[in-house]
Amino acid sequence: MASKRAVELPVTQIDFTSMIDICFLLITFFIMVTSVAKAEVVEVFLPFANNAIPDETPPENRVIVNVDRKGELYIRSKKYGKPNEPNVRKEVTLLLQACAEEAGFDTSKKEKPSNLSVYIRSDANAMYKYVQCVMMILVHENVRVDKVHYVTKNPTLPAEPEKKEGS
Amino acid sequence: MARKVELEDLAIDFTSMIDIIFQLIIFFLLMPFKGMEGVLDSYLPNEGSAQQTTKNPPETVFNIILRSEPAGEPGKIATRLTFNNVPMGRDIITLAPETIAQMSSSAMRQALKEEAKGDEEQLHPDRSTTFRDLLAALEKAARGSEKGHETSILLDANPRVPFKVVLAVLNCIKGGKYTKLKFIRPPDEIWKAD
Repeated sequence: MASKRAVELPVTQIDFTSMIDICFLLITFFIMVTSVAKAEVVEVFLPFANNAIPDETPPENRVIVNVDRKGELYIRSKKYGKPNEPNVRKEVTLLLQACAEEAGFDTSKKEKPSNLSVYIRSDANAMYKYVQCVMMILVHENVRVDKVHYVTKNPTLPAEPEKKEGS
Repeated sequence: MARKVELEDLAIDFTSMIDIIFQLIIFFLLMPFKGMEGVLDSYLPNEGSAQQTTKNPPETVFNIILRSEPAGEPGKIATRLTFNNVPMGRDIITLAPETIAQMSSSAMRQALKEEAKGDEEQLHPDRSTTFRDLLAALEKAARGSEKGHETSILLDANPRVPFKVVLAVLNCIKGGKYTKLKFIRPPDEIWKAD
């Protein structure tokens, strides 16, 4: 009787080894992906807009221009400084020109706007002047971006209770 | 008998480890891809036409003008919103961007918390008298215009206006179902170093 039980027991065990292998691969993947995604984000206090739409499918050719409360620009996790300083203006124009060319913009055919998507992620308390500087750089003949997106706070969370109050 | 006991001791219980791993997987799956931020879209004119627009504006346009001036309180600015030359509601009182830029990080955090409360009252389209007025004026103007909501809106904000006020206006224009927005070309002073 005792010998029969000892044979039956090992059959009920499941081998988790390969599952753990896959789980670890998934974890490593997500840890790496999130750290890359976070590098784009500079701490800015975003303005609120209840009519903004959630950005569920971001476009392929996208550049995020972060403007902090002092008006300093951060693009692709690099700090550039205030856009009204001549060297920063030149550097940012060249960078955005390179981005536009990457997105298929032909500088010899300037009448057609580039299909680069620019997200302006500005701090709520920054002066409008710096955003104006960025917009002027965007309409430069070598960049020719004609559509901008202003990043706002998540509109889905606070909007619902507030709408009730208004109606 | 002695051998069987030894074999059982060798087995490791993975159950709790798998629990933790699943928690981690779910956390990393949910965290990065959720739409945490919204966007407001607008089209920019090209550099050449930006100049033309200011020289000869098209026949029917609505004007929104934002002007910031130092307020009575130190360190604050008052922004006046006018639509087709009619002032809307009350002036919007906010901390001057220069004041915030000079604050230490601890003082700033406190000040911004208070500022956010004020913004809720002053910038929300349903609560603020200024933006309620603007929304009503936009609706009235659309009814009186041939092109209705297709009429272009010309936004002229001076460089000192806080960005959140400009964005609240854009939000209001979008809420009023207008589709065409034009920005006035800023003065060359914006390129002067601070």
